[in-house]
Amino acid sequence: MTYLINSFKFSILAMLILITSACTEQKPSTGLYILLDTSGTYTAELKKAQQIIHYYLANLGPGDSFAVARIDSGSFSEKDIVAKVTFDHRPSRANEQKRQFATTISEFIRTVKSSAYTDINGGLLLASEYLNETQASKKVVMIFSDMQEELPKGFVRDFSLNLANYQVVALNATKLRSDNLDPKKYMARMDKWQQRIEESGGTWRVINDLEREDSLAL
Amino acid sequence: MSIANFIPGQPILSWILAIIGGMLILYFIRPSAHQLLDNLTSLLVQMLKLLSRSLVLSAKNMSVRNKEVLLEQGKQQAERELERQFIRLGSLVEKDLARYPMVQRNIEQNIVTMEDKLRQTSEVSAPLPEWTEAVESIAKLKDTTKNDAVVGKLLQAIYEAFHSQQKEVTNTYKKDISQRHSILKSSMGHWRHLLEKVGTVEKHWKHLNEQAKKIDLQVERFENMVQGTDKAQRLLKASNSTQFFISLVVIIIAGFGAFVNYNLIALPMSELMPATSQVAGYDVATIAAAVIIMLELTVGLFFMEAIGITRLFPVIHFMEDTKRTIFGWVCILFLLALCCVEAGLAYMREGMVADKAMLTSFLVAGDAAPIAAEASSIPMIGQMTLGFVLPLILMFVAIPFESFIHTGRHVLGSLMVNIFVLLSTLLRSVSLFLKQFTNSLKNVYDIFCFGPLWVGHLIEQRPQSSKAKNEPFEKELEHDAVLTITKES
Repeated sequence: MTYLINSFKFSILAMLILITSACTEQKPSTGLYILLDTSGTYTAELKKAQQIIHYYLANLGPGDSFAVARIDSGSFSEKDIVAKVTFDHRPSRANEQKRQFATTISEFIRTVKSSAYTDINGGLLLASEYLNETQASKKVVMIFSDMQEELPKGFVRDFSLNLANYQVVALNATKLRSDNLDPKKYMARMDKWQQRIEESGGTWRVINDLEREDSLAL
Repeated sequence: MSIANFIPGQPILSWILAIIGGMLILYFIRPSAHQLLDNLTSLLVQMLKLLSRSLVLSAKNMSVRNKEVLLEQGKQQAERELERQFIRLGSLVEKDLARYPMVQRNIEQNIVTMEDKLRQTSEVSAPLPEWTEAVESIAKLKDTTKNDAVVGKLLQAIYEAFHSQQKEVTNTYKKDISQRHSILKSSMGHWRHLLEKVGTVEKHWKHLNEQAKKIDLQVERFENMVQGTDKAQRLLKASNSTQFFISLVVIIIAGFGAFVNYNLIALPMSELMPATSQVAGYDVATIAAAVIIMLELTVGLFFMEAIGITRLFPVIHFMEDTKRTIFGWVCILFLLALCCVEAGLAYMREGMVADKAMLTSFLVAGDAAPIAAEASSIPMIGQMTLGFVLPLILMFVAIPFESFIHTGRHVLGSLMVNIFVLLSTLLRSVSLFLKQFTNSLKNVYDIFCFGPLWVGHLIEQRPQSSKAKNEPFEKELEHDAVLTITKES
């Protein structure tokens, strides 16, 4: 009888442990990928990008993934990834990783050289690959660029992107001189990108006022 | 086909026909419709009444049970109080009786000493020498032998000797009296001591009497509880409600204390537990912090039980004294260990906050970030002290918790009784409303078929009026027949 009671107690305990372990789930994480345009005169804007990166470093928490890559003449290359990290579950270790990340970005911005062309689509493809690997529940790609794509000869970028459940944000999409002459060009450019992103399954947003903290929130 | 086309080209006539037809249908099915309404209402009303009755019955049963529980609790409480009073009285009697032989010996010694002293004072000194009579005889010689110089000298010498003797005796007497007075004076201390001892004994007896009176009151209260008198019930109810609300307030205050404690350790727990895991939408780290606080409360509860302050767990309460003491020590050791863990976590928290501040500063200002000045250690010491002390303070929540559990049963029961009675009244009201509503529905139904009803009523009236006209004639006939029969007889 005692044996039966003990077995019953043990099975209840085992069930409780099983239920508790079954209830444990992964915390929703965020994957953020920032593409920095290094073409032409846009490199002058990179100081602003550094501030944005620092803002997100301060706000991302343990378990989140963060990567920064440059957009140059051919962006679909791992060499273009400036820094990437998945923050440790311990806050102290995550803080250390953030420090290292910020130092790497600072070094990159100090030494960056302008590229002749701007391969945004290549950068987007690389970003989607990286974020898919992280298995983050929220995937955000931010493009710090004027959104003017210029490809070198021989580069083909007419592939279809799979950006389902992605948020794509154009940051600081500055107006070019030609846009000033004919603003329709700017609007057409933005519409084209919006259409491409939405056709790929993602959502599109443009943030030009970088001072507004609520618009930067993920 | 619409109603207006019943008779082609005559919409009004079609409508009139439709209305008359409808009225007739309603008139013909009127008894059945009324019956249906009555049946449905009756069914609902019966159900509601049944429910209401069952609620009232449940309320009554619950009330009786509440009373039983209340009296049982009161009995237990009175037993505990009585037991405590007896223990107090026992220890008092034991203490006083243990001292009583000593007091008695002391009093006896004092009495013996005083008796000795009294005896010493009663000792009378030797009487005056009897040669005064001889002096008187010689004095008589003076009368017989007048002008005898020798006699005169003799008498003079005797006189002087007598005076000196008297002086000596008087001095001796005075000395003697003084000695007796000093003996009596020294016995005053014994008197006082005696008085003090008797006074102490009296005080003890008074105290004993007071305790006995208290016990009498407790016994009377206990008897009332056993008999289940209304007075006892009223007193218990009032006491229970007061205790319930007091304990509730204390528990709420303790809840705030637990909240402060939780916030103190929630952040550093993320350093120990995986911050990327969740259970039911909550971070494992925050759950772990809450679990630590709950463990502290549980261990505190066990400790209070082990030292006999609360009686929530009979298993602990009825343990052997030695085992219970060991259990108590184990509990307090665990509690102190948890306190140390909390103090450590509080220390870690301060470090984490400082690190976070440094990181933010670095991210804002980069390498040019100002080096943080050496922070004061007071906040850290304060947090560590809080981390150590709060679990110990929370341990005392066991007392109001016990009170809350015991009194909550009755308060909740009373609340349920009131809710049941209220629900029963509501159900009764609904049943009454349904009855009236059905009557109104029937009247509304009758309005829709007023035409046929009116005609029917007229038809019903006609035979009744002819019958009424014939009735006096029939009565007259009957009356004549009766008269005829009577006369014949």
